[in-house]
Amino acid sequence: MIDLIYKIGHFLLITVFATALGLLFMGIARKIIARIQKRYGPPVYQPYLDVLKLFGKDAITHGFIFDFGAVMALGGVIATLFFIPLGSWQLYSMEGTVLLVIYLLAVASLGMAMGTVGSGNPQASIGISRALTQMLGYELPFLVILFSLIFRYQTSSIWGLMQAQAGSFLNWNLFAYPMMALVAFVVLIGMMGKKPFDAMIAPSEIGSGPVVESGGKYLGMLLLQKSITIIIELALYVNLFLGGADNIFSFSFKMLIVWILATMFGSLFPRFRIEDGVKFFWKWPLGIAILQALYIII
Amino acid sequence: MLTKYIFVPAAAAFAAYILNKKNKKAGATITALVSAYLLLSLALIYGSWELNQSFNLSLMGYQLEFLMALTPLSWLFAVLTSAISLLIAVFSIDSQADFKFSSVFNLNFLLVIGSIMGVLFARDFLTLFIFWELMTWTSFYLISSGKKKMAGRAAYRYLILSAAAAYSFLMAVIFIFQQTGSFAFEPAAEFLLNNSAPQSILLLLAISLPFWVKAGIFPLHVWVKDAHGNAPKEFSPFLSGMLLKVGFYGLIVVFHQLSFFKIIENTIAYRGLPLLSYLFALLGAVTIITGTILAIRQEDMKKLIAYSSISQMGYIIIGIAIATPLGFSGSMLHLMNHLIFKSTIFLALAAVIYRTGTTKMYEVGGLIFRMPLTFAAYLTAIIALAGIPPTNGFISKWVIYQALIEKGYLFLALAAFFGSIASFMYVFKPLSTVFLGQLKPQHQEIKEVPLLMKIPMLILIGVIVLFGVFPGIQMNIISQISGDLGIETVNYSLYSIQGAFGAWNSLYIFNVFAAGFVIALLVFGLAKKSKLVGLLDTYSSGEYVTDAESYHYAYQYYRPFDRLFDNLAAKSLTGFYETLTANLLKSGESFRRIFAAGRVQNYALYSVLLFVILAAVGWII
Amino acid sequence: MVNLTLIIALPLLMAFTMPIFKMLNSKLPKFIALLTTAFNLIVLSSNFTEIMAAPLILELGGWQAPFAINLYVGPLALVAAFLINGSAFILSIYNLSQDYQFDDKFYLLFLMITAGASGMVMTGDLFNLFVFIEITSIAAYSLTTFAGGSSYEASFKYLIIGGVGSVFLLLGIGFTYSAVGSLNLAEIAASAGLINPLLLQITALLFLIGIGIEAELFPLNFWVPDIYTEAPTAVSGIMSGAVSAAGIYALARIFFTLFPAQQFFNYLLVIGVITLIMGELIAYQQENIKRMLAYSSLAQMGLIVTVISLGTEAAVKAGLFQLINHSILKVLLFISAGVLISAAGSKKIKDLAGLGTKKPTAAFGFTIAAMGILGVPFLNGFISKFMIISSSLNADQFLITFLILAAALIEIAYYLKVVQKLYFEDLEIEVKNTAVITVPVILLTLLIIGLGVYPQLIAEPLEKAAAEILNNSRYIMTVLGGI
Repeated sequence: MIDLIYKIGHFLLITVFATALGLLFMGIARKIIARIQKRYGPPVYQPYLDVLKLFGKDAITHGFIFDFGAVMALGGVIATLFFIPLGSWQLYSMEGTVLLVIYLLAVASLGMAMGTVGSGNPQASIGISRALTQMLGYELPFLVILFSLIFRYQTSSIWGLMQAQAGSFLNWNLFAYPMMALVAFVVLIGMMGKKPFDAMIAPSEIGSGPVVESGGKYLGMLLLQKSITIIIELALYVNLFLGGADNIFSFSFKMLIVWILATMFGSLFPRFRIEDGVKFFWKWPLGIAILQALYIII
Repeated sequence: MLTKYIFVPAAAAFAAYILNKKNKKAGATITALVSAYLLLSLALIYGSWELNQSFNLSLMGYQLEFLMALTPLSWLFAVLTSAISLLIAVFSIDSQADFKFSSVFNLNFLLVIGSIMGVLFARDFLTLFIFWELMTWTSFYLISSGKKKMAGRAAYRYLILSAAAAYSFLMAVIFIFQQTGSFAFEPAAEFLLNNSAPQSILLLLAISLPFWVKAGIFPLHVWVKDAHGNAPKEFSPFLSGMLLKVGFYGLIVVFHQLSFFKIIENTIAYRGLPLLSYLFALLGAVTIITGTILAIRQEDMKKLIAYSSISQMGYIIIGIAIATPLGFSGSMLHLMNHLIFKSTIFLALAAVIYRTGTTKMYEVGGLIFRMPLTFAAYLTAIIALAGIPPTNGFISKWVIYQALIEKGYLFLALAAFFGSIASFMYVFKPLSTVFLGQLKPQHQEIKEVPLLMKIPMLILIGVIVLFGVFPGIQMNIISQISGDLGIETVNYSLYSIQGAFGAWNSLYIFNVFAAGFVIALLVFGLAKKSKLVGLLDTYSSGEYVTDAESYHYAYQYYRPFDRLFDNLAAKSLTGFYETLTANLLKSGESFRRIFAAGRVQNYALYSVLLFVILAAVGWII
Repeated sequence: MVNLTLIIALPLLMAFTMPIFKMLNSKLPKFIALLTTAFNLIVLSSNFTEIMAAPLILELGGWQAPFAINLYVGPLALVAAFLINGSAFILSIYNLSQDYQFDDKFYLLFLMITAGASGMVMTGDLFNLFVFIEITSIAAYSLTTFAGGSSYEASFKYLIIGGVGSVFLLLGIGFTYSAVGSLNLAEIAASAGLINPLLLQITALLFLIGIGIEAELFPLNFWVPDIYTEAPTAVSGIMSGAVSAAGIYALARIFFTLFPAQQFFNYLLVIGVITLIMGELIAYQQENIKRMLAYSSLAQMGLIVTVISLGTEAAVKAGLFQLINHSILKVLLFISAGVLISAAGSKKIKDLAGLGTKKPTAAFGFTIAAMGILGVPFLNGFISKFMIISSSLNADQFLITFLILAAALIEIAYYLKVVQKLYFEDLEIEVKNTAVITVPVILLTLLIIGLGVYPQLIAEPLEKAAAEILNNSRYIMTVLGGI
């Protein structure tokens, strides 16, 4: 019983931590982009203020599914967080977590998709249809990479993959399989919806796409969801390619490095059209991933 | 007494036909009762694997023996058949109230059920063939009775393809009969094992052909989409759920009980798998990809789901073909799970069609407000189809992935992943276009479906989640089947399965998921309450929105993606078959024009010509 | 145990007294025809057990063979006679509701054709065979024209071809007589070895052509579509169910009993297969339902000839069973089609759409007969198909088996088109009143299902018939045994 309470407490702590860190990262990103564009940019703690403001505002809803979608989105990512090792914090180690994480993220996106499309605004539908198409694009190379890693290390738990890179930092998959790490990085950019893969949000084109009808607490929840998603994706990358970390601080530090690189990379490009994006993902990233996979298998 | 499983439905079929002429609901009620009866008696005989029956018949100088027996595999399929028929029958009591062909439908439906039982319990080729033919013919009539104009053509193509395959089966089987003197499986298996490998392989391929057609594997999948799209809406769940699976039953019998895998064991192998098996798996991979890509393009809800079924069959054949314990269990799990969630989807869509009268997705919208239960059923089912935990669909896919990664089959795994991710796209499309979005003015007043149609959907939702959390229930029967066929079983417990790289614990996942959801709910609830506004009251950059019809994004939902494959999709396999047969049959016209032109002088001339030719032939030889 | 000659004599008698009956009562001819055919069936049944034991020889005029004409009725002839008279009987029931111009003449000819066909299968003399063929043909020529319109042209074409056939037959008979000195079938069979081989070949070829026309073989069968399409339904029925059966019998007699030679079996095999494939392919293209059935008929004849010429006992049994089934099924098909055509007022298939609801009996009859032909399990066609494939594989004829199955596939295609049109399309035309065919449909359906579920009913006759035809020395012994 005590154990259960302890676990629940631990879980809540991680959730709060991840949210806070995610929001901080978002702030950092805004600052960096601003500086690149020769502006000052908002302070790094701006997202915290945004969230607090949003939760205080009134909002409209379009019915049950709109509410349900928002809850499902946030709930899904919180559940996913449970399975990601953050430094030495590992709530539950289980085989198959790698694939599980991918799918639980899908639950979250499905929730968001359902909720936002349920608003009745076609711009949301367009955004979601683009998002799903793009997801097909980047998931394919990513799954090939996972396939190779699982096959190589004969384990499908994230903790296991992390442990396999223990020892010196030269064991990191970043150095063992650099091409794969590069492809994964590009995929990460796609996952996070940064340019050039942000046609699904396309602020000036389809009114921010899925979030067009969300305001107040809905936008707040989606913002929280986004922040946790960022942490999950970064954590995944760090665990798979940068060898994880012994403690939460070096882990966060590694995540920060990846985040900064991703942000800088993402600020450089214009938008890909969706089919171009998918074609891109299926050309070089997929090709390289497949070659790497064949190299590992054979 | 195994024959009662055949004769009870058969007799009931005629009773249903007659009674249905008086009262439109009688037929479906009888079907429901018979299915319930079959289900109950099957439950009672679980475990009696020694049950068998035989008939001897001396026919025209041939000594024929008809054998029937109960095996774990047939038991499972029989249970699945009766269960799904029960649910569909209950559903159709109301949904067929004004269906013109309801009497013929129920007649043939019961006959299909009876024939499937016959196929499942047969232990000799002749019995199998007889009931297989009956099954094909009765399902032909069922598909023909659909309301759409293309129903006849679709059914027709289905039958011709099935019949061609069945004839190849017949030829091979009679050949074996003449070599062994019996139609039973065991003597045939022995004969094939001791025979020359190439000849045995050829014979077995001929025998398995009707099963490939039924299972809808590339390149024999061409009949599936039209049959599903045009069949009566109550039959589509059965088509997708059970009829396709009977093909797999046959394939498993051929592979394991007729020693196909043993025969090819010593042929050239690719990464430890005989090349022919790998080829089958590859066909499955192509099936997955083709089905998925074509599904995304569809505007008709039933055809979309039909293509989805085709691609899911690809998963099943991959698992069976690679023949590892995980692969086999994964396929069996997926077979059962697919039945469950596909039927749910089709029943939900049937409910929509029942209320709105159309199958085109861009003609409906916003139905979540009027038909929430149907939406819930559809949502749960597509979560399962996409393979998201904690539903049963995730587990079967997970096991298949484990099987593929374990052996390092990259391309197969790639196809499987592709199918899985892309399935998000095509399941979301009906969700978004049918249930979400703008409610059309003519649908403002439609109601949720009647109780008898709600019950099956509710039951299926429950089963999806139940099996998602407790896969052990399914694994019980699957391990029995594996044991019976000589395959190693997979370790499992009530809520976990042992994969190649660790075990899966569903109960735990479910709890975590619930916890996350609860937290999110708390966050939501603690915030301010929001104001409910209408659907048309949305952000539109200042434009006035009055027309719900044009404000609904549904047509060509995935245009960018479709653009990528426009060229590929233009080359249709159906077109290929059509041109081939059309050309072949046109030769009839040419013959007629050459020979039977109507001039009697020519006819008279032929007599003389024949005489001269044959005399010359006789003289030369 | 009634004297079998009555089977030929009585119809002929009734035929020629038709005008008198017509004078008495205009409805009488129909019933006379019905009763006569029924009587024939009874006569055949009464002789059944005896013939199964040993073939019956009836010497006409009290003279012994080979000096006189004798009738030889073995199991095979019995089966064929049953088919002929059975078809005539069913068609007479159908005719009860038809009215023909010149009723008395129609039934006169109808009984004549029945008598002629029965004579063809029962005779033991070559020239007698020729006479009966002529009787049958002439009756056919005339019967066809009762439909008016383009049936004259069809009849004329048949007349010409029939005439050519007669020439060939007479030539053959002439050669045979000059070589053997007798026209008795048994005697010819006995002396076949003594004939000059070259002459034998030529003679057999002549017979092949002459009989082939009656047996509807390629390329001699192009009169068939025209006749079957243009003639009244009852005539198409009797041609398909009875006359073609008689033709096959004659062909079998000549090539199994008189001039058995592997070479001719090969010819027949090839001709049969070509007939089959071509018939099916052309049938698929047809828009006119009777023409479609006509091509289907001649394709089936090709199939039967192919199977029989494989020569093994199993093959002959299979072919015979197929013949029996063919007669039953085709008669049912023709009468159902006849009703459907008069209901729709048109022979085009697309005009028959939706008639399943208005004319359920006819539509059902057509459907069950179609399913029978296609070999759906539990119907008679399945058993005969199974036997055919089995015997053909047994004889190591893989190509033939494949072609037979391919032809079956095409059959499925065109029959199903009609069935679907009947039931699953909408009714577009006005339905006219038609004949009532409930009784024939029920009778034939019972037969179809009965034979399908319990084919042992005719196992014994089939076996005996097959054994008989393959054993020509026994034939000779039975007939000439006395001498």
